[in-house]
Amino acid sequence: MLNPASLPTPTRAGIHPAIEVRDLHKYFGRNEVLKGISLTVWPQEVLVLIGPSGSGKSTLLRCLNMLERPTSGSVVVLGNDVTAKGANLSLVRRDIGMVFQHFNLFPHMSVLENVMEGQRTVLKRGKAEARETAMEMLLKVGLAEKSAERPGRLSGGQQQRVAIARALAMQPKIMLFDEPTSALDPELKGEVLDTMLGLADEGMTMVVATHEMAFARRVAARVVFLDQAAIVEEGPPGDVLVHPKSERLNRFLNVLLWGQQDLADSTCRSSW
Amino acid sequence: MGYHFDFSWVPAYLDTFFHAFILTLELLGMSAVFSMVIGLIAGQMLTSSRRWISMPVRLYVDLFRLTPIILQIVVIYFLLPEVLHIQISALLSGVIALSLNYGAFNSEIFRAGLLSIDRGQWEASSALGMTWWQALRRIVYPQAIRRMLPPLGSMLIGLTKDTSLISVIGVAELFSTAQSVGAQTFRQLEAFIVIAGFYLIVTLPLAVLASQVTRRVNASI
Repeated sequence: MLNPASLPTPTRAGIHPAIEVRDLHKYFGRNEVLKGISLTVWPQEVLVLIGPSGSGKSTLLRCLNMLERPTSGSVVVLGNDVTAKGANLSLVRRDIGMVFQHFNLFPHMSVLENVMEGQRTVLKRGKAEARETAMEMLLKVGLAEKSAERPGRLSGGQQQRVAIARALAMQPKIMLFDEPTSALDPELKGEVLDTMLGLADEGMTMVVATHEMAFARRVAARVVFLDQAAIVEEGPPGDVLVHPKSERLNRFLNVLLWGQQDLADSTCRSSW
Repeated sequence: MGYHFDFSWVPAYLDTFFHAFILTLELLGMSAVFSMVIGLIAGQMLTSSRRWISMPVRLYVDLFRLTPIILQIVVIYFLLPEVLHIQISALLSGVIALSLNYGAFNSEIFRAGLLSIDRGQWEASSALGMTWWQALRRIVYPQAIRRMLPPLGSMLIGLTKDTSLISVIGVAELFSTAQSVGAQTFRQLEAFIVIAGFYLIVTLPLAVLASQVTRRVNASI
Protein backbone atom coordinates (compact mmCIF):
# COMPACT_ATOMS: atom_id res chain seq x y z
CA MET A 1 0.00 0.00 0.00
CA LEU A 2 1.21 3.50 -0.81
CA ASN A 3 2.24 5.67 2.07
CA PRO A 4 0.69 9.05 1.26
CA ALA A 5 3.46 10.84 3.14
CA SER A 6 6.05 9.65 0.66
CA LEU A 7 4.28 10.78 -2.49
CA PRO A 8 5.84 13.64 -4.42
CA THR A 9 4.05 16.98 -4.35
CA PRO A 10 1.31 16.75 -6.93
CA THR A 11 0.83 19.57 -9.38
CA ARG A 12 -2.15 20.29 -11.54
CA ALA A 13 -1.20 21.68 -14.93
CA GLY A 14 1.99 22.98 -13.37
CA ILE A 15 0.17 24.76 -10.54
CA HIS A 16 1.38 24.11 -7.01
CA PRO A 17 -1.16 23.45 -4.29
CA ALA A 18 -2.09 26.23 -1.86
CA ILE A 19 -2.21 23.72 0.97
CA GLU A 20 -0.89 20.19 1.02
CA VAL A 21 -1.83 18.02 4.01
CA ARG A 22 -0.16 14.65 4.35
CA ASP A 23 -1.04 11.84 6.71
CA LEU A 24 -2.03 14.19 9.51
CA HIS A 25 -2.59 12.65 12.93
CA LYS A 26 -3.70 14.50 16.01
CA TYR A 27 -4.22 13.15 19.51
CA PHE A 28 -5.80 14.94 22.43
CA GLY A 29 -4.42 12.80 25.21
CA ARG A 30 -5.26 9.26 24.14
CA ASN A 31 -8.12 10.37 21.95
CA GLU A 32 -7.25 10.38 18.24
CA VAL A 33 -9.15 13.27 16.64
CA LEU A 34 -7.48 13.11 13.21
CA LYS A 35 -6.61 9.69 11.82
CA GLY A 36 -4.24 10.26 8.95
CA ILE A 37 -5.80 13.03 6.90
CA SER A 38 -4.36 13.75 3.44
CA LEU A 39 -5.78 16.63 1.52
CA THR A 40 -4.84 19.09 -1.22
CA VAL A 41 -6.28 22.58 -1.59
CA TRP A 42 -5.66 24.24 -4.94
CA PRO A 43 -5.32 27.98 -5.49
CA GLN A 44 -8.64 29.82 -5.93
CA GLU A 45 -10.51 26.75 -4.82
CA VAL A 46 -13.28 26.75 -2.22
CA LEU A 47 -13.06 23.58 -0.20
CA VAL A 48 -15.89 22.88 2.22
CA LEU A 49 -15.46 20.55 5.19
CA ILE A 50 -18.65 18.97 6.43
CA GLY A 51 -19.26 16.40 9.09
CA PRO A 52 -20.92 15.90 12.46
CA SER A 53 -19.72 17.72 15.58
CA GLY A 54 -16.55 16.09 16.86
CA SER A 55 -15.67 14.68 13.44
CA GLY A 56 -12.41 16.64 13.47
CA LYS A 57 -13.13 19.33 10.87
CA SER A 58 -12.39 22.16 13.28
CA THR A 59 -9.17 20.52 14.43
CA LEU A 60 -8.11 19.92 10.85
CA LEU A 61 -8.74 23.57 10.02
CA ARG A 62 -6.78 24.70 13.07
CA CYS A 63 -3.86 22.49 12.07
CA LEU A 64 -3.59 24.37 8.78
CA ASN A 65 -2.27 27.52 10.49
CA MET A 66 -0.79 25.66 13.46
CA LEU A 67 -3.23 26.97 16.06
CA GLU A 68 -3.27 23.27 16.85
CA ARG A 69 -0.01 21.38 16.61
CA PRO A 70 -0.49 18.03 14.84
CA THR A 71 0.96 14.94 16.50
CA SER A 72 2.44 13.73 13.21
CA GLY A 73 2.18 14.35 9.49
CA SER A 74 2.92 17.48 7.56
CA VAL A 75 1.12 20.60 6.37
CA VAL A 76 2.70 22.58 3.56
CA VAL A 77 1.17 26.01 3.00
CA LEU A 78 2.22 27.98 -0.08
CA GLY A 79 5.38 25.93 -0.25
CA ASN A 80 6.30 26.34 3.44
CA ASP A 81 6.24 23.29 5.70
CA VAL A 82 4.51 24.79 8.75
CA THR A 83 4.94 21.59 10.73
CA ALA A 84 8.74 21.73 10.41
CA LYS A 85 10.70 22.54 13.54
CA GLY A 86 11.63 26.20 13.62
CA ALA A 87 9.10 27.19 10.96
CA ASN A 88 8.37 30.91 11.14
CA LEU A 89 4.67 30.65 11.94
CA SER A 90 4.19 34.37 12.33
CA LEU A 91 5.37 34.83 8.76
CA VAL A 92 3.20 32.06 7.29
CA ARG A 93 0.10 33.12 9.22
CA ARG A 94 0.14 36.54 7.55
CA ASP A 95 -0.88 34.79 4.35
CA ILE A 96 -3.64 32.75 6.02
CA GLY A 97 -6.66 34.65 7.27
CA MET A 98 -8.88 32.94 9.82
CA VAL A 99 -12.48 33.52 10.81
CA PHE A 100 -13.73 31.93 14.03
CA GLN A 101 -17.09 30.62 15.17
CA HIS A 102 -17.19 33.13 18.03
CA PHE A 103 -15.68 36.03 16.02
CA ASN A 104 -12.96 36.75 18.62
CA LEU A 105 -12.92 40.45 17.87
CA PHE A 106 -10.83 42.63 20.17
CA PRO A 107 -13.43 44.18 22.50
CA HIS A 108 -11.18 46.99 23.76
CA MET A 109 -10.76 48.43 20.26
CA SER A 110 -13.11 50.11 17.83
CA VAL A 111 -14.16 48.26 14.69
CA LEU A 112 -11.65 50.30 12.68
CA GLU A 113 -8.84 49.57 15.16
CA ASN A 114 -9.68 45.87 14.99
CA VAL A 115 -9.14 45.91 11.25
CA MET A 116 -6.00 48.05 11.56
CA GLU A 117 -4.36 46.07 14.37
CA GLY A 118 -2.76 43.26 12.36
CA GLN A 119 -1.57 45.68 9.70
CA ARG A 120 0.03 47.94 12.30
CA THR A 121 1.53 45.34 14.64
CA VAL A 122 2.42 42.54 12.24
CA LEU A 123 2.89 44.17 8.84
CA LYS A 124 4.26 47.42 10.38
CA ARG A 125 2.17 49.52 8.04
CA GLY A 126 1.90 53.23 8.71
CA LYS A 127 -1.23 54.58 10.32
CA ALA A 128 -2.61 56.27 7.21
CA GLU A 129 -2.09 53.23 5.02
CA ALA A 130 -3.56 50.86 7.61
CA ARG A 131 -6.57 53.11 8.05
CA GLU A 132 -7.14 53.34 4.32
CA THR A 133 -6.92 49.57 3.85
CA ALA A 134 -9.17 49.00 6.88
CA MET A 135 -11.85 51.33 5.54
CA GLU A 136 -11.63 49.64 2.16
CA MET A 137 -12.22 46.23 3.79
CA LEU A 138 -15.05 47.54 5.95
CA LEU A 139 -16.65 48.98 2.84
CA LYS A 140 -16.31 45.61 1.21
CA VAL A 141 -18.19 43.84 4.02
CA GLY A 142 -20.70 46.70 4.11
CA LEU A 143 -19.82 48.09 7.54
CA ALA A 144 -17.90 51.29 6.82
CA GLU A 145 -20.45 53.32 8.77
CA LYS A 146 -19.77 51.24 11.91
CA SER A 147 -16.02 51.92 11.95
CA ALA A 148 -16.11 53.98 15.16
CA GLU A 149 -18.27 51.53 17.13
CA ARG A 150 -17.05 48.99 19.64
CA PRO A 151 -17.62 45.41 18.44
CA GLY A 152 -19.88 44.74 21.45
CA ARG A 153 -22.47 47.12 20.03
CA LEU A 154 -22.84 45.21 16.75
CA SER A 155 -25.07 42.26 15.92
CA GLY A 156 -23.51 38.82 15.59
CA GLY A 157 -23.66 38.96 11.82
CA GLN A 158 -22.02 42.36 11.76
CA GLN A 159 -19.32 41.21 14.16
CA GLN A 160 -18.52 38.26 11.93
CA ARG A 161 -18.28 40.53 8.90
CA VAL A 162 -15.84 42.75 10.83
CA ALA A 163 -13.85 39.61 11.63
CA ILE A 164 -13.74 38.82 7.91
CA ALA A 165 -12.59 42.38 7.17
CA ARG A 166 -9.92 42.07 9.89
CA ALA A 167 -8.56 38.95 8.22
CA LEU A 168 -8.78 40.41 4.70
CA ALA A 169 -6.87 43.54 5.71
CA MET A 170 -3.73 41.40 5.91
CA GLN A 171 -4.23 40.63 2.20
CA PRO A 172 -4.02 36.87 2.81
CA LYS A 173 -3.72 34.33 0.05
CA ILE A 174 -5.86 31.78 1.86
CA MET A 175 -8.89 32.19 4.13
CA LEU A 176 -9.95 29.64 6.74
CA PHE A 177 -13.50 29.71 8.09
CA ASP A 178 -14.23 27.71 11.24
CA GLU A 179 -18.03 27.33 11.36
CA PRO A 180 -18.48 31.05 10.73
CA THR A 181 -22.27 31.02 11.01
CA SER A 182 -22.80 28.43 13.73
CA ALA A 183 -23.05 31.01 16.52
CA LEU A 184 -25.47 33.21 14.57
CA ASP A 185 -29.24 33.46 14.63
CA PRO A 186 -30.72 32.11 11.39
CA GLU A 187 -31.73 35.55 10.12
CA LEU A 188 -28.14 36.81 10.49
CA LYS A 189 -26.42 33.97 8.64
CA GLY A 190 -27.29 35.27 5.18
CA GLU A 191 -25.22 38.47 5.40
CA VAL A 192 -22.13 36.48 6.40
CA LEU A 193 -22.66 33.83 3.72
CA ASP A 194 -23.18 36.58 1.11
CA THR A 195 -19.87 38.13 2.12
CA MET A 196 -18.16 34.76 1.79
CA LEU A 197 -19.79 34.16 -1.58
CA GLY A 198 -18.45 37.50 -2.79
CA LEU A 199 -14.99 36.50 -1.64
CA ALA A 200 -15.21 33.18 -3.46
CA ASP A 201 -16.30 35.00 -6.64
CA GLU A 202 -13.13 37.10 -6.44
CA GLY A 203 -11.10 33.91 -6.54
CA MET A 204 -10.04 33.68 -2.89
CA THR A 205 -8.69 30.30 -1.83
CA MET A 206 -11.00 29.21 0.98
CA VAL A 207 -11.31 26.30 3.36
CA VAL A 208 -14.65 26.37 5.13
CA ALA A 209 -15.88 24.14 7.93
CA THR A 210 -19.65 24.56 7.99
CA HIS A 211 -23.06 22.99 8.37
CA GLU A 212 -24.55 25.27 5.68
CA MET A 213 -25.37 22.79 2.93
CA ALA A 214 -26.78 25.46 0.64
CA PHE A 215 -23.47 27.29 0.81
CA ALA A 216 -21.54 24.08 0.15
CA ARG A 217 -23.74 23.26 -2.80
CA ARG A 218 -23.50 26.70 -4.34
CA VAL A 219 -19.94 27.81 -3.60
CA ALA A 220 -17.77 24.75 -3.00
CA ALA A 221 -15.51 23.40 -5.71
CA ARG A 222 -15.06 20.33 -3.57
CA VAL A 223 -16.76 18.98 -0.49
CA VAL A 224 -14.93 16.81 2.03
CA PHE A 225 -17.00 14.74 4.44
CA LEU A 226 -15.27 13.88 7.70
CA ASP A 227 -16.61 11.40 10.20
CA GLN A 228 -14.94 9.86 13.22
CA ALA A 229 -11.64 11.64 12.57
CA ALA A 230 -11.22 10.48 8.97
CA ILE A 231 -12.20 11.58 5.46
CA VAL A 232 -15.10 9.39 4.34
CA GLU A 233 -15.96 11.00 1.00
CA GLU A 234 -14.79 13.88 -1.11
CA GLY A 235 -15.72 15.32 -4.49
CA PRO A 236 -17.75 17.99 -6.24
CA PRO A 237 -20.84 19.02 -4.24
CA GLY A 238 -23.10 17.83 -7.05
CA ASP A 239 -21.88 14.30 -6.46
CA VAL A 240 -21.12 14.17 -2.76
CA LEU A 241 -24.19 16.03 -1.52
CA VAL A 242 -26.67 14.66 -4.03
CA HIS A 243 -25.53 11.09 -4.48
CA PRO A 244 -23.67 10.13 -1.30
CA LYS A 245 -21.92 6.78 -1.69
CA SER A 246 -21.54 5.95 1.99
CA GLU A 247 -24.30 5.14 4.43
CA ARG A 248 -22.74 7.50 6.97
CA LEU A 249 -22.89 10.55 4.68
CA ASN A 250 -26.40 9.62 3.64
CA ARG A 251 -27.49 9.53 7.27
CA PHE A 252 -25.66 12.78 8.05
CA LEU A 253 -27.31 14.62 5.16
CA ASN A 254 -30.75 13.33 6.08
CA VAL A 255 -30.40 14.51 9.65
CA LEU A 256 -28.97 17.86 8.58
CA LEU A 257 -31.43 18.62 5.81
CA TRP A 258 -34.40 18.05 8.04
CA GLY A 259 -35.78 21.56 8.36
CA GLN A 260 -33.22 23.16 6.08
CA GLN A 261 -34.31 24.54 2.76
CA ASP A 262 -34.43 22.18 -0.20
CA LEU A 263 -31.06 22.34 -1.92
CA ALA A 264 -32.60 22.70 -5.35
CA ASP A 265 -34.43 25.86 -4.31
CA SER A 266 -31.39 27.75 -3.15
CA THR A 267 -30.29 29.16 -6.46
CA CYS A 268 -30.65 32.89 -5.96
CA ARG A 269 -28.69 35.17 -3.67
CA SER A 270 -29.89 35.81 -0.12
CA SER A 271 -31.98 32.69 0.02
CA TRP A 272 -29.59 30.68 2.13
CA MET B 1 -15.32 57.50 81.66
CA GLY B 2 -12.37 58.52 83.73
CA TYR B 3 -9.87 59.02 80.95
CA HIS B 4 -8.93 62.56 80.09
CA PHE B 5 -7.61 63.00 76.58
CA ASP B 6 -4.64 65.30 76.33
CA PHE B 7 -3.33 66.30 72.93
CA SER B 8 -1.56 69.44 74.14
CA TRP B 9 1.88 67.82 73.66
CA VAL B 10 1.23 67.04 69.96
CA PRO B 11 2.56 70.32 68.42
CA ALA B 12 5.94 69.74 70.05
CA TYR B 13 6.17 66.30 68.41
CA LEU B 14 4.70 67.14 65.00
CA ASP B 15 8.15 67.19 63.47
CA THR B 16 8.87 63.70 64.81
CA PHE B 17 5.59 62.36 63.47
CA PHE B 18 6.19 64.03 60.14
CA HIS B 19 9.58 62.37 59.75
CA ALA B 20 8.01 59.00 60.60
CA PHE B 21 5.29 59.68 58.05
CA ILE B 22 7.89 60.37 55.35
CA LEU B 23 9.70 57.16 56.26
CA THR B 24 6.41 55.24 56.06
CA LEU B 25 5.78 56.73 52.62
CA GLU B 26 9.25 55.65 51.50
CA LEU B 27 8.60 52.16 52.80
CA LEU B 28 5.23 52.13 51.05
CA GLY B 29 6.51 53.57 47.78
CA MET B 30 9.39 51.16 47.36
CA SER B 31 7.38 48.12 48.46
CA ALA B 32 4.49 49.08 46.19
CA VAL B 33 6.74 49.32 43.13
CA PHE B 34 8.68 46.13 43.86
CA SER B 35 5.60 44.08 44.79
CA MET B 36 3.90 45.14 41.55
CA VAL B 37 6.95 44.18 39.49
CA ILE B 38 7.23 40.84 41.30
CA GLY B 39 3.49 40.24 40.86
CA LEU B 40 3.65 41.07 37.15
CA ILE B 41 6.53 38.70 36.44
CA ALA B 42 5.58 35.91 38.87
CA GLY B 43 1.94 36.08 37.76
CA GLN B 44 3.01 35.65 34.16
CA MET B 45 5.18 32.69 35.10
CA LEU B 46 2.31 31.09 37.03
CA THR B 47 0.27 30.94 33.81
CA SER B 48 3.00 29.01 31.99
CA SER B 49 2.21 25.46 30.97
CA ARG B 50 5.88 24.58 31.40
CA ARG B 51 6.13 23.18 34.89
CA TRP B 52 9.77 24.11 35.35
CA ILE B 53 8.69 27.73 35.04
CA SER B 54 5.46 27.66 37.04
CA MET B 55 6.44 25.22 39.83
CA PRO B 56 9.21 27.27 41.51
CA VAL B 57 7.00 30.35 41.40
CA ARG B 58 4.08 28.40 42.84
CA LEU B 59 6.35 27.31 45.72
CA TYR B 60 7.42 30.89 46.40
CA VAL B 61 3.85 32.20 46.26
CA ASP B 62 2.47 29.55 48.60
CA LEU B 63 5.35 29.95 51.05
CA PHE B 64 4.61 33.65 51.40
CA ARG B 65 0.83 33.32 51.33
CA LEU B 66 0.66 30.63 53.94
CA THR B 67 2.97 31.97 56.65
CA PRO B 68 2.41 35.03 58.85
CA ILE B 69 3.77 38.24 57.37
CA ILE B 70 5.24 39.36 60.69
CA LEU B 71 7.21 36.12 60.79
CA GLN B 72 8.51 36.78 57.27
CA ILE B 73 9.61 40.27 58.27
CA VAL B 74 11.61 39.00 61.25
CA VAL B 75 13.09 35.98 59.48
CA ILE B 76 14.21 38.01 56.48
CA TYR B 77 15.75 40.62 58.78
CA PHE B 78 17.88 38.03 60.58
CA LEU B 79 18.43 35.67 57.66
CA LEU B 80 19.51 38.02 54.86
CA PRO B 81 22.81 39.19 56.43
CA GLU B 82 23.69 35.55 57.20
CA VAL B 83 22.95 34.35 53.67
CA LEU B 84 24.30 37.31 51.70
CA HIS B 85 27.15 38.24 54.08
CA ILE B 86 26.30 41.91 53.79
CA GLN B 87 25.01 44.46 56.24
CA ILE B 88 21.53 45.49 55.32
CA SER B 89 19.49 48.25 56.90
CA ALA B 90 16.29 47.40 58.72
CA LEU B 91 14.42 49.67 56.31
CA LEU B 92 15.67 47.81 53.25
CA SER B 93 15.04 44.47 54.91
CA GLY B 94 11.48 45.61 55.60
CA VAL B 95 11.03 46.69 51.98
CA ILE B 96 12.20 43.26 50.82
CA ALA B 97 9.85 41.41 53.18
CA LEU B 98 6.81 43.51 52.24
CA SER B 99 7.65 43.29 48.53
CA LEU B 100 7.99 39.52 48.61
CA ASN B 101 4.79 39.06 50.61
CA TYR B 102 2.66 41.45 48.57
CA GLY B 103 4.37 40.28 45.39
CA ALA B 104 3.10 36.79 46.13
CA PHE B 105 -0.49 37.96 46.55
CA ASN B 106 -0.24 40.33 43.57
CA SER B 107 1.02 37.51 41.36
CA GLU B 108 -2.24 35.64 41.98
CA ILE B 109 -4.15 38.72 40.87
CA PHE B 110 -2.07 39.03 37.70
CA ARG B 111 -2.42 35.29 37.04
CA ALA B 112 -6.19 35.36 37.47
CA GLY B 113 -6.48 38.45 35.28
CA LEU B 114 -4.50 36.85 32.47
CA LEU B 115 -6.45 33.60 32.64
CA SER B 116 -9.77 35.47 32.61
CA ILE B 117 -9.12 36.55 29.00
CA ASP B 118 -10.80 34.24 26.53
CA ARG B 119 -8.50 31.85 24.66
CA GLY B 120 -10.05 33.10 21.44
CA GLN B 121 -8.28 36.43 21.92
CA TRP B 122 -4.92 34.66 21.86
CA GLU B 123 -5.99 32.60 18.86
CA ALA B 124 -7.22 35.58 16.87
CA SER B 125 -3.95 37.38 17.59
CA SER B 126 -1.85 34.37 16.56
CA ALA B 127 -3.91 33.86 13.43
CA LEU B 128 -3.10 37.45 12.40
CA GLY B 129 0.57 36.58 12.72
CA MET B 130 1.25 38.28 16.04
CA THR B 131 4.01 36.91 18.21
CA TRP B 132 3.31 35.83 21.81
CA TRP B 133 4.74 39.11 23.06
CA GLN B 134 2.71 41.24 20.63
CA ALA B 135 -0.51 39.43 21.56
CA LEU B 136 0.22 39.85 25.26
CA ARG B 137 1.03 43.54 24.98
CA ARG B 138 -1.52 44.67 22.41
CA ILE B 139 -4.48 42.38 23.01
CA VAL B 140 -4.42 40.50 26.31
CA TYR B 141 -2.97 43.00 28.80
CA PRO B 142 -5.13 45.97 27.81
CA GLN B 143 -8.16 43.81 28.61
CA ALA B 144 -6.74 42.01 31.64
CA ILE B 145 -5.47 45.14 33.39
CA ARG B 146 -9.03 46.45 33.75
CA ARG B 147 -9.93 43.38 35.74
CA MET B 148 -6.70 43.51 37.77
CA LEU B 149 -6.93 47.14 38.87
CA PRO B 150 -9.69 46.86 41.54
CA PRO B 151 -8.03 43.99 43.47
CA LEU B 152 -4.59 45.59 43.06
CA GLY B 153 -6.06 48.75 44.59
CA SER B 154 -7.16 46.82 47.67
CA MET B 155 -3.70 45.31 47.92
CA LEU B 156 -2.15 48.78 47.88
CA ILE B 157 -4.38 49.84 50.78
CA GLY B 158 -3.44 46.66 52.64
CA LEU B 159 0.24 47.37 52.02
CA THR B 160 -0.12 50.88 53.46
CA LYS B 161 -1.52 49.48 56.68
CA ASP B 162 0.98 46.64 56.86
CA THR B 163 3.97 48.98 56.77
CA SER B 164 3.21 49.27 60.51
CA LEU B 165 4.43 45.68 60.95
CA ILE B 166 7.95 46.79 60.04
CA SER B 167 8.06 48.36 63.52
CA VAL B 168 9.04 44.92 64.87
CA ILE B 169 12.50 45.25 63.36
CA GLY B 170 13.00 48.76 64.74
CA VAL B 171 12.36 50.96 61.72
CA ALA B 172 11.20 54.37 62.96
CA GLU B 173 8.06 54.43 60.86
CA LEU B 174 4.72 55.72 62.18
CA PHE B 175 3.79 52.83 64.45
CA SER B 176 7.09 52.50 66.32
CA THR B 177 7.37 56.29 66.51
CA ALA B 178 3.95 56.41 68.17
CA GLN B 179 5.15 53.82 70.65
CA SER B 180 8.29 55.75 71.59
CA VAL B 181 6.58 59.14 71.66
CA GLY B 182 3.87 57.61 73.84
CA ALA B 183 6.49 56.32 76.22
CA GLN B 184 8.09 59.75 76.48
CA THR B 185 4.87 61.71 76.97
CA PHE B 186 2.92 59.05 78.89
CA ARG B 187 0.17 59.64 76.32
CA GLN B 188 0.25 56.31 74.49
CA LEU B 189 -3.40 56.24 73.39
CA GLU B 190 -3.29 59.79 72.02
CA ALA B 191 -0.10 59.00 70.11
CA PHE B 192 -1.78 56.05 68.38
CA ILE B 193 -4.83 58.16 67.57
CA VAL B 194 -2.58 60.78 65.96
CA ILE B 195 -0.92 58.22 63.64
CA ALA B 196 -4.31 56.77 62.72
CA GLY B 197 -4.85 60.17 61.07
CA PHE B 198 -1.63 59.81 59.10
CA TYR B 199 -2.63 56.38 57.79
CA LEU B 200 -6.02 57.73 56.75
CA ILE B 201 -4.33 60.56 54.83
CA VAL B 202 -2.97 57.85 52.54
CA THR B 203 -5.67 55.18 52.59
CA LEU B 204 -8.77 57.37 52.22
CA PRO B 205 -7.76 58.87 48.85
CA LEU B 206 -6.63 55.40 47.73
CA ALA B 207 -10.01 53.92 48.65
CA VAL B 208 -11.87 56.68 46.79
CA LEU B 209 -9.62 56.21 43.76
CA ALA B 210 -10.06 52.42 43.86
CA SER B 211 -13.85 52.64 43.94
CA GLN B 212 -13.84 55.11 41.06
CA VAL B 213 -11.60 52.84 39.00
CA THR B 214 -13.85 49.88 39.82
CA ARG B 215 -16.92 51.83 38.73
CA ARG B 216 -15.30 52.82 35.45
CA VAL B 217 -14.13 49.28 34.80
CA ASN B 218 -17.61 47.88 35.43
CA ALA B 219 -19.16 50.52 33.19
CA SER B 220 -16.82 49.73 30.29
CA ILE B 221 -17.54 46.00 30.28
